[in-house]
Amino acid sequence: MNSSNYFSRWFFGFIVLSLLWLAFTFPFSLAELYTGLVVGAFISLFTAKYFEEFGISSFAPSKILGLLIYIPIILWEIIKANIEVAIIVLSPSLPIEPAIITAKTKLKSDIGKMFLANSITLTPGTLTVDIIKDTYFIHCIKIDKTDERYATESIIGKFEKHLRRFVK
Amino acid sequence: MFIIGIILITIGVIFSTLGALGLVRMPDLYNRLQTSTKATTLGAFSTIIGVGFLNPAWLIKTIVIATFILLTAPISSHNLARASHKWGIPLSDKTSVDKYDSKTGKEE
Repeated sequence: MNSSNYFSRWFFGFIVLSLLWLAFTFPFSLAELYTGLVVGAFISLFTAKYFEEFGISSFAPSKILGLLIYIPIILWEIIKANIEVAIIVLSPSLPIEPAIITAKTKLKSDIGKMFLANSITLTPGTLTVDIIKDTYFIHCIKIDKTDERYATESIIGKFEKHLRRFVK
Repeated sequence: MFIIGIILITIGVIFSTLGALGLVRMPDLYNRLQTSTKATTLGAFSTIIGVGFLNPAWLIKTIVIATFILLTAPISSHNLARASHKWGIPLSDKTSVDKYDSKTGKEE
């Protein structure tokens, strides 16, 4: 349960909130900066217990690099997903074969599962309906095989290998 | 900058329209969620970033807002799908398999 101590969690929350604040008030003045730091420190005192599972270790360069590599991949998949859905919506015969199938993941942490579920929902023809332990229930708009292993490879596989670089 | 902004906003408007069209054409709730989530996510994303390009002072703020949309839109649609499946809203006749029912029984 306690994968990192309270201070490390608090510090992670503090850094993330402060960076968000800086991004929001971009041409910032010094007074705004101080306000942001104080409020960020105060809020993360309360949220550290629930969020920020891995604490400061999330700032390891390899993890940040993994996240930076992941962003263009997911954006490209989102664009492909939209073109695919656009073709289905615009074709007069509405070629859909929906199904709810299962797939297994190897990711262990909650945050990793959340990233994977969001990625699945945003990409071609798939929507995560539920997650029970390591099983994903995925609604597909169009599917040729309903076999679990095929689904695990074709839907989860392409994200999992990139996600494993920065989440467990 | 101006041209990029206009192009992004146009793309956003096109995909939002397609999402609305999908909402009308799809046969059941789950397929409607599919089209509306994907199309409106990219629609909103690209429109907001486009506004950022039109007014470069806002660019960083619009990127932050767009990231929030990217993170939260799939969660809401996932919850809608899960809740309606538990409530028993039927899938369309075209559906070939539904592996979800059996497993929920075991979980509870």
